[in-house]
Amino acid sequence: MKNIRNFCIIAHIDHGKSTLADRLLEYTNTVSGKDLQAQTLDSMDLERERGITIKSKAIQMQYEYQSEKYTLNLIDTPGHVDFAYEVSRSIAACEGALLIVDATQGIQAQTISNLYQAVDHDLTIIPILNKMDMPNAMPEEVEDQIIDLIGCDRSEIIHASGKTGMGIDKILETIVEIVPAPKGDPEAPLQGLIFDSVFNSFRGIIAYFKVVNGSIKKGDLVKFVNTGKEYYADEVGILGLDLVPRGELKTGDVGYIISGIKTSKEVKVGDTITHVKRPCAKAIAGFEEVKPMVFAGVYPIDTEDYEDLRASIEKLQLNDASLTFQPESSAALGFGFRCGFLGLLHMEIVQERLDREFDMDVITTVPNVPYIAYTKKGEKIEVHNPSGLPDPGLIDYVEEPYISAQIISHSDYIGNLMSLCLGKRGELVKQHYLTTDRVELVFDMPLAEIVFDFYDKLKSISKGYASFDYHTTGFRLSKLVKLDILLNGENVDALSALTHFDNAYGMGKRMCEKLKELIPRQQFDVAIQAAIGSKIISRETVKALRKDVTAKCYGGDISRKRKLLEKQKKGKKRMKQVGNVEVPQKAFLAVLKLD
Amino acid sequence: MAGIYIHVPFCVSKCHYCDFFKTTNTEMLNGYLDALMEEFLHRKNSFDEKISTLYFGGGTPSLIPLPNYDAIFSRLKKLYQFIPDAEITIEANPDDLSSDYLMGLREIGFNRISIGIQSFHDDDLKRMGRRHTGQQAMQSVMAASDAGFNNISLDLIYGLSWSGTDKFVENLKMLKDLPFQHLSAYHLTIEQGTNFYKQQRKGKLREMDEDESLKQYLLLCEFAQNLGMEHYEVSNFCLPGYISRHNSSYWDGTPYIGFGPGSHSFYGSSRYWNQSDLLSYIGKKFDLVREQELLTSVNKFNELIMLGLRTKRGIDMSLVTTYFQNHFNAIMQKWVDNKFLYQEGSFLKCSEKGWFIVDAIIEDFFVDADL
Repeated sequence: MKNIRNFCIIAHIDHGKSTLADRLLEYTNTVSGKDLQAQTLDSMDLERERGITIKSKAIQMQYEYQSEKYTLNLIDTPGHVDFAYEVSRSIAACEGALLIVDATQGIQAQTISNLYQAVDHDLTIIPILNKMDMPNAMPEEVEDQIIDLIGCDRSEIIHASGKTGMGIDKILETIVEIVPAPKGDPEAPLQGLIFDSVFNSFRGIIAYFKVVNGSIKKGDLVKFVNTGKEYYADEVGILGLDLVPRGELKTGDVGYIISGIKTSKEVKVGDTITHVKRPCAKAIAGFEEVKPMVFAGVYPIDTEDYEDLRASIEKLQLNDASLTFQPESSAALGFGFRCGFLGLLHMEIVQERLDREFDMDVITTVPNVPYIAYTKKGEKIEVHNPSGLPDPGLIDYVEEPYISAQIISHSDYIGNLMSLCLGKRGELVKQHYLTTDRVELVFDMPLAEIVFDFYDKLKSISKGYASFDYHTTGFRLSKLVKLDILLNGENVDALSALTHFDNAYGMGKRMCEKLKELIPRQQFDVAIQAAIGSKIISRETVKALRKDVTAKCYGGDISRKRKLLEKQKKGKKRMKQVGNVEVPQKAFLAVLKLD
Repeated sequence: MAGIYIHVPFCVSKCHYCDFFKTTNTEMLNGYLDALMEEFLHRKNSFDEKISTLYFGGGTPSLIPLPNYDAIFSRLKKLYQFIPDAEITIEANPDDLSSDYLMGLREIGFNRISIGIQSFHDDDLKRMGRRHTGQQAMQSVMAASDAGFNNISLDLIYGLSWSGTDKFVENLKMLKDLPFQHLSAYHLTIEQGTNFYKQQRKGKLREMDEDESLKQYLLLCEFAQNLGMEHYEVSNFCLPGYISRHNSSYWDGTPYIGFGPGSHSFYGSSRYWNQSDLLSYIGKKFDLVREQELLTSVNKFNELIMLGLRTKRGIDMSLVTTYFQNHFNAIMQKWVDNKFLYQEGSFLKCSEKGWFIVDAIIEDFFVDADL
């Protein structure tokens, strides 16, 4: 146990975490250069393309230092706010953390929030300046930021480059020297902390965990404390490049357990594994049920694909327990599902995976956060979709989720960022200069405001430089209304949205304008209206088609003309009939981006 | 019965709106004529139906000297059997029509002439890249009549965004006094590959406002009606008995065979066309340049709709196969309810306002070609 080092990496997207991790694996001969697919840890195509880590992973390295053999477990963490809870569990499984900061960019918002978590868990922090090979590296300035943040000595900061391999040896030595060995009690009852799980179609769910106390042997009867379910440990082992079965895992070890579990719902990140015969007194602290914070309708473009969509979402859920879904139906879109996501990125990922891995074409409706409606009768109702909001006459009051939003940016953009956040009902809580020209802003904001076109605006007003992170802080009173869209007087349920009263007029107006652009002209005028209850707040008209005729259609024109119209017809196949109005599929998607 | 179309891909200059296959390299005219005579022989076994119409289109067929027409006619008459009152049309440019040329055409056997007037306003003609004046246009029509043509068709273009509706009305007034039996009036369409297309992209030309287009179209319909003309196709009007028999064959399923580069043919269950490749054509590589499209039952249904709705005759609903019947009836109901279509006997027809959005209606009826 004294020769085990468990550590994670804290870094902002693009700061070179995965590349640096690859170098560590190479240097310790865990993988040879030729086996090294660029960024071994990011195994999903989506992760490689976007340069982000979605799922946590772990890998074990063997390293010899001063004639002693050490086992290093690198626990990779997801790099996005949507997955903050998973990050916290990975951090809880470690004793040390590499703080990687891009020497050309400096510290970003997310780095800070993850760093605070690591400090809270008493992890030993090893600061690293990465990308030191770049000509535009600014080591002094970024070192100042790091020192200001963690109060280390300038000499403790390791200069490294994942690209050239600079500093890799120093990093490994430092891990061994300063990260403490795990401190558990080998004789105590078993306590294993689950920090991630993956689904394997042959073996079921594979849970990754750290043995905090005690030990576990193959064949043991174990219990997952929070779910209360019992299993036999069919296989336990460590995480090399592949799964390496072992007879026993001891205190401090990081490894996996396979126990015939079929669905990811039974394996909750943060849960505690213990023995049935000699259970631990209590579960490891910090377990939370992950709750979806963004909900949206997901509908098959072709209504006949409903059952296929269900099967696809069920499969996705096997290795993504944070995805929830419930059947829902819409007059405009037919049958589909109300899906719950951790956040917007999670929603996008699910959409993309449905498309790539399951070849499903879907329409996603306007997303919303969960609201809590309290009725005059004293009922408490969770509202996940616009139709779920009780009649306004029955409602006593409504609460909406709030977040603490942290933004780090060059100080040039403070003005823009302020007006953006204040315009999104934010309240400034803190303004703090990290260096002379880098500022940290903290706002209390409704979560709903960042669900709807916030990221894009943030990036555009800060020329891409502002970084953003948030965590939820609870529910507050809200003036919520249901905004409806009517086409020729008919309510289009799939376009309804829940929004704060103050935003309703602006949003209604912009939705009408956007729909006017997207709805093709038809044989009659199409009235597009936005309404709150029976009150119309905005209106646009798509004028009837007056002229659509080809002047000439003689012998030489027939084939070409027919093919052209056949092609156009195909394009319009994706129209949804709403009352007597034909609405293109893209109209349902485009209202998500209103600017 | 069948028709023959001969494409003459030569022009002295290119009109800014025209996207037909043509070249201004008239030096190749002799090579083309030589190849054309050869193609007649090459395809003589393609079909043996009696020929009821012969049509020379372009390009500018009025660039071909009379002796060549003589030779073409004698060869065609050797190879094909023409019915006694076959309709024989030439498309002509006003400035090519001298009295002698017109008399010659009559003697050779042309009994119908289609003259590209387009407008009587010199500034509009210039803007469109036409090489004649309004005066020449008037004179050519008179001369054709004097030469004995009693089936004269005139081409007119409307919907010119830079030219107001008043000028269009003046054009109609000028027409009224001319001897003609048939009118093809085309709304300007800015086609890809034309000079106008380039102008549009540079912002120097725009499409006419739709309300004004519709206004001009309705004025046109009214004008033709007052002259006692029948509106028998989207863009075509005629005095009773003067329907273009050749062009009608495109819309009613009569077979036709095309000669010359870029010409199209239709017989059996296929459409064929010669590629728009003058050099290969002159090299007499007739089979190399020939392309074929076999029509599926979906293609045939779609064409039945597309061609039927463009004509006064309408869609012969007895030809809609059982397989497409339900689809057809559902779509039909919608447009009949809105009075864009109406039913007469077993035919389904466009109303005048329906014709002006006929492409949208056609598309609505179309069946996915991948089925």
